[in-house]
Amino acid sequence: MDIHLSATEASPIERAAVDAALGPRDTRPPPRDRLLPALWAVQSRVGHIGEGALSYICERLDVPPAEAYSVASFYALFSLDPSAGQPLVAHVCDDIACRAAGAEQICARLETALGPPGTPTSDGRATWRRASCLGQCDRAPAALVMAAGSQPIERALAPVDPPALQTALRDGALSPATDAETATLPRIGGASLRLLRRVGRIDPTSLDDYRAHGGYEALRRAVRLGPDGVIREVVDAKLVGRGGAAFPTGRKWEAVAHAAARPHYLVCNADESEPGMFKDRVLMEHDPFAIIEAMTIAGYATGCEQGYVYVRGEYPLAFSRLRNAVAQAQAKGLLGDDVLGRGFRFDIEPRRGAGAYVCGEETALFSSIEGYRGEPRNRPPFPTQSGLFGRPTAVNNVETLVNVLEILREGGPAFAAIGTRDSTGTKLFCVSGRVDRPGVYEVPFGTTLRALLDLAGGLPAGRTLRAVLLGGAAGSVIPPEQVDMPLTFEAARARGVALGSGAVIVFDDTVDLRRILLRVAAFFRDESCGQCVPCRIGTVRQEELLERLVSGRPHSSVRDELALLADIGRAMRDASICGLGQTASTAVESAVRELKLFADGGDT
Amino acid sequence: MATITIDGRTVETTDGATLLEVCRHNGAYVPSLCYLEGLPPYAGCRMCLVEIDGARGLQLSCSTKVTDGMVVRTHTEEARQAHKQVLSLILANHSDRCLTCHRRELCHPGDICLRDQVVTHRCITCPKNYRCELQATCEVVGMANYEPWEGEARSWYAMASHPPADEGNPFFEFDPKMCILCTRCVRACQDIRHTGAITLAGRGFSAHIAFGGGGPIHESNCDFCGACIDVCPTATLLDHPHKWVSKPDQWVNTVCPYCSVGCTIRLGVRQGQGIIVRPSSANPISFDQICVRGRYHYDALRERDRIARPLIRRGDVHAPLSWEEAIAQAAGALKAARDRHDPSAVGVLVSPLASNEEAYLAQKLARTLLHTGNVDSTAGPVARAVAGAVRDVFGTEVLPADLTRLAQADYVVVVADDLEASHPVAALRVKDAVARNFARCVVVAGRQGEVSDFAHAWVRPRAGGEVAALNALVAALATDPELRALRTSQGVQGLERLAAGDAPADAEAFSLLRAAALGDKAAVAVVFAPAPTATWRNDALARAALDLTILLAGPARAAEAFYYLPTEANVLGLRDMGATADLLPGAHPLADAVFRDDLAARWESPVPAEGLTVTQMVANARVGRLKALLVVGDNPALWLPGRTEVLDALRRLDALVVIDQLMTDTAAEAHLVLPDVDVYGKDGTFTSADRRVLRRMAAVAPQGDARPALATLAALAEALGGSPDAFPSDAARVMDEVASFLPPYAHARYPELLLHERESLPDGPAATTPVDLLPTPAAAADGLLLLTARTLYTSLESAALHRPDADKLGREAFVEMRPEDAARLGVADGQPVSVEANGAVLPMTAKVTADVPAGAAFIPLLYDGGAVMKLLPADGSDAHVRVRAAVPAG
Repeated sequence: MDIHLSATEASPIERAAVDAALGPRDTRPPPRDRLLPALWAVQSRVGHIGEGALSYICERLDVPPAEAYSVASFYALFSLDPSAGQPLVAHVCDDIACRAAGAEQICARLETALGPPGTPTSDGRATWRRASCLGQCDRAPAALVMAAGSQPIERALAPVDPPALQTALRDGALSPATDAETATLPRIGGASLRLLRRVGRIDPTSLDDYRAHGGYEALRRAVRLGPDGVIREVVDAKLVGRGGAAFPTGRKWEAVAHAAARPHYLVCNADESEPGMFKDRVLMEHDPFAIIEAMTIAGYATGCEQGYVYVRGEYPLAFSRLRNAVAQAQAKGLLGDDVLGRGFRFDIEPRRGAGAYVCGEETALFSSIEGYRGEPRNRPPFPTQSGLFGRPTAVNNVETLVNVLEILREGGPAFAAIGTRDSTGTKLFCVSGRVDRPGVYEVPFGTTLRALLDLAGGLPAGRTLRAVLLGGAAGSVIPPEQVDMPLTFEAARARGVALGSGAVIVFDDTVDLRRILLRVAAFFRDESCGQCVPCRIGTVRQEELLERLVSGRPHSSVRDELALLADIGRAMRDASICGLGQTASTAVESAVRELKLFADGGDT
Repeated sequence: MATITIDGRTVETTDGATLLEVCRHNGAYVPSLCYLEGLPPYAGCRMCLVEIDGARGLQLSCSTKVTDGMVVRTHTEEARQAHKQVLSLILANHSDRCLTCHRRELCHPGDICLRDQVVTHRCITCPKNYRCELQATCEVVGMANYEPWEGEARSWYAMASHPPADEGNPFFEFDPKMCILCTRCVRACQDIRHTGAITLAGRGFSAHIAFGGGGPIHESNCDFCGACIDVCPTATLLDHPHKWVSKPDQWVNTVCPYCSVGCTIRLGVRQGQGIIVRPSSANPISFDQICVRGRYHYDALRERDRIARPLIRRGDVHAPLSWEEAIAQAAGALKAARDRHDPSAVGVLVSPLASNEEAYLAQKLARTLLHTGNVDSTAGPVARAVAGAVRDVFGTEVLPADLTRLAQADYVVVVADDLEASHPVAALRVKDAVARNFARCVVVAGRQGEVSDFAHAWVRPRAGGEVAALNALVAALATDPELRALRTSQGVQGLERLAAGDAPADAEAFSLLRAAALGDKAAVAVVFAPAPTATWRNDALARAALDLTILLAGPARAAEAFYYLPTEANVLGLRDMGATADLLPGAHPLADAVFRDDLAARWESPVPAEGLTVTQMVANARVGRLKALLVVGDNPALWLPGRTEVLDALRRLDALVVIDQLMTDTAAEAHLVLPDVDVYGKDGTFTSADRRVLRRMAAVAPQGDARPALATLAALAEALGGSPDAFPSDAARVMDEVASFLPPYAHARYPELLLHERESLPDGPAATTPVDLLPTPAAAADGLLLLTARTLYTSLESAALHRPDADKLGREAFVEMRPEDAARLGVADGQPVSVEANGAVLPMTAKVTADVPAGAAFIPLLYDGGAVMKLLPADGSDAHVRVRAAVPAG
């Protein structure tokens, strides 16, 4: 490859960080997929990725500067501008749930004290920025503070204590999280916990504790059943993916297991970025070994020897717990060349995203792991034929995988008996917004939305339900009169809405839903990858149009504006490459339709 | 095969073909703004939607593969609406005044726009107006002439400021505000050129096209090949020269004269002037690619820089005179030298950029009218050395190697100084072979170039060690028992003579080449591109490269595996035409008495049996034995080593007659200057490196009274007593004569000469006898070995006039040396230095870089019009230079 490096040299510190991530020099450069880890190494060491560091990474990886730049500039958590790359950055969430919990007031306060987002503090050591959902909605309002250095500290502050945050920014220093903080648990309701059975009850850093609570029994059963037997159980269980697309997991595994091309890859999609979602984070932070075990079973069933778990960049605790879990499993022979001494090979590499919603789309996630921009790919070919590194790949959501442990524990048919005929098992719902007890709730499919809200304590006293946003930013608005809908895939489909991955954001009558819709529109404008026209431009047009409607300054008439909004929505839905663009108008359109948000505007 | 129906018509095509291409090739217009033919679909613009029976919803035709029985409709109402919808999204973020202005058909530059208050948005202020693919797509899809949304704050117009355009380089401009992010430029740079200088950066609405690490284009690794400009559908990437001259009057297919690959270009001409160059896909080697030289060097000079009238030297100045007088004077001077002294006191030099017709007529004039065999070219010595080695191996110098097959090679060996700089499009095909055909590549070069970045084994000796390194590889292969047995069984003799290698062979290259040689039916290509100086080294390298080819490809296939790429465009044509001291037309050796007699009968004139080379002519002129010289476009003051001696020789001549369009250093010494027209202004043919006879067209108008060199040669011939029939001024008639008796040119007659026609050459002659290798002489002296070669950016014409902007990017005006050498000499990067050798001193600026080998100083050949030639000895041997930090001025 043609590499002309910039004249700017990397500092010794930057070099050391890159070398630590890439290992010592060899005759051949490290593989391309080490690019993202190398970028992370520099970002968390010095707080930004300067020209010299980028150039050094290019030299080590034999990658042209343009490509490294394109990747580095794709992710929200990387800063390329040394002047804006302070070692300490507070990412303050102003997304849906946090907004409903007063994020705007916090931002206003920070703005008064420190200046607009991105302004360095007086000593230039810190700054704050606005962020999309950080996945801490149960403890809203939230902020993620990242302090670069030889011992980088990355901490979620939730709920944010504004004076403490201000102090940390002013001093340019951050103390590591205390055990008490990381132990803060979401409130969990429901009688018989299955997926959440160990959450809060075991030490998430201890493999022994996990085993003491039934860990690795499922893997032993899986090895007794053999790969085909495992797949049969999963098929019998009628398990469908919990990431939002609801594709039958058994069929996916069968396709990969029978694919002729080798090697096969397993990918655990832990890039939980949908606003309002945090269930996978809870599982990863509090039951990481379950994910490792479930991935091992999936790898065994589908003939994969290498698995990747791709954790969203905003989940530092989840990432470190998973890394710890993988290391312990490797040390105990539960991962590696001879798993359980049963002669099969399987290993896992945790990978960390760097702030891009679109990487939750499975093909974009492959691109990201491979060291490219997280852009989705055209289908066909499907991942089961050509996925990660162009090989047959099984990609499953965290929650889906954890369900496999339950299936192996009790058998496919027993699993299928829970829930409804077409939606089997239990489902994790992330309830946030204006409810008494926000948190992760595990309920059998078929539970009504109203029952779920009641489980979460209902609305605060004296408030009236205005709407529920089901499925997050890409989801649909459910009006109060429809909260008796059962939470199943089939019921959602019949209503023309999607259950999505299980976000339930509750709004009462004090929330200005039009502002919420503007935030949703802004979210998609920021998170579109920029590859295809309908999504890249459509999301902006949608935001502009909503802005006009919300500010009461429509062009021509509100009716014409709504017609144009529908046109833009159709173009995005019909012509976008991936689910991001295809669903970017869903919430807005359903809100306009169900709540008649702009009907009162009339013609102007 | 698949039979499909497109809009009711039945179409035969191949199963699995891309539907969009099939539609387009069959006349069904499907709009698309991101697809690039031949590359995997990007599917970003989402425009190419069509209806396919049995498929749910509209389908993207760029990512749909044809299957038998498919029924496709491209013009349904639903498809048309979808096209409009996506286009309207694109237009929401793009200037659209060129579509909506009511006066757009009437508007001309300089008009006052009547309806738009925002003058900068006027359609005519877009330099791509009327040649914009987005605009044309809008017209076809029915999106033109629409009423702009009244008062609507559309994204594009609502933006407070647009990112600034990058106008920081002389070749092309990048204006991001016109960009629709189709990423064609990204893919052209990455997938077609293998350069990877362009990328999509950022995300979402702030996604943007970036060069290199996000800085200006000229700080990235961009080579300014312009592939991105060719594919840009909007006014985002544009040529800087003639940016506002939108439409040429006509497009002329002609040949780029800047190297021996012979890329076909389309030259856009407006009012007799070339204003734009595009590649022509008619050429099977270059196809849709050219390089920075071919694309931009047409614009290096203006008409006023060219000589407009015949000139005669009066004292120290040149004064104009009429053509009649000029021809009479020139003929008189040549005749006087011939008659007063001896025919051997007269000589003719022909430029390696001259056409076959010019070369043929010039040598015929020399041999039949001046009765001298002293015909040669400044490119003669190197070409003769290489051709001699080729003849020793194959018995002929006409080899069947075909550059269209280079990209399909399984193994490529490149022996060149820097192939990317000397032959950019050949280098591109080598990269294609590596990137697309997974070829294994060995590069033997002291200097780092882009091709060495693609090498699996880069043999990089110290300065001057290429010969020893290549000899060592040949020796190692020749002594490999298995390979030796194989080749011996195939009839190769004398391998034992190659065994004497004094240096160890590069282990990685050896094992790779051994695999190539023993591999079953592996296609091997040995690309040899010698620098235009250093005759001895090129002789030695040619021998080793040829022996390597025999070892790698075997005796039967060696001829088609050996690619000899001379530096300048028509070096091989000159040899075919006999414009060289050792050959008669048809590349017949001068010693071939039978052919000489035939030729004498054909020409009705005796044909001299001897001739001086250019080196001998220079030497003879210095001692007064050569009295008159006719120079046809050549420039010995620039091309020949020993520049001081060369100028001395020229000054001692009684008569120096120069036919040239520029006042070169050689022309400046002339007694008579007969103005030629630009290479793009005259008819003729080139013979490219793989012996395609390429037609060059008269496209631009001559400057002043200038005449094509061929007409001047014909007039001179007539004045010397030649008949107009024997010396026609019409290129077609000259080629008729060549075609009538030189078999390789039998089908090169105008007008049936098709562009890029390649004679089917006889099967490669078997090569059973390797040539002897030349040992490297003991390293002579202290100092750095001086290397020089053509570089990528410096314009030949501009350099010949010593223009300071000959290298418009300012990248090549340096003496380059390695950090350790520089440190030893106490020289810092960017420091003024003096370079001294051969009794001459050259002041330069140092560039400290790892691109050059240890122990070398590299100076671009064209720097300051060939100033480096002062430092090189006239005999073509090596020079060692002393580099000293200059005392800082002031």
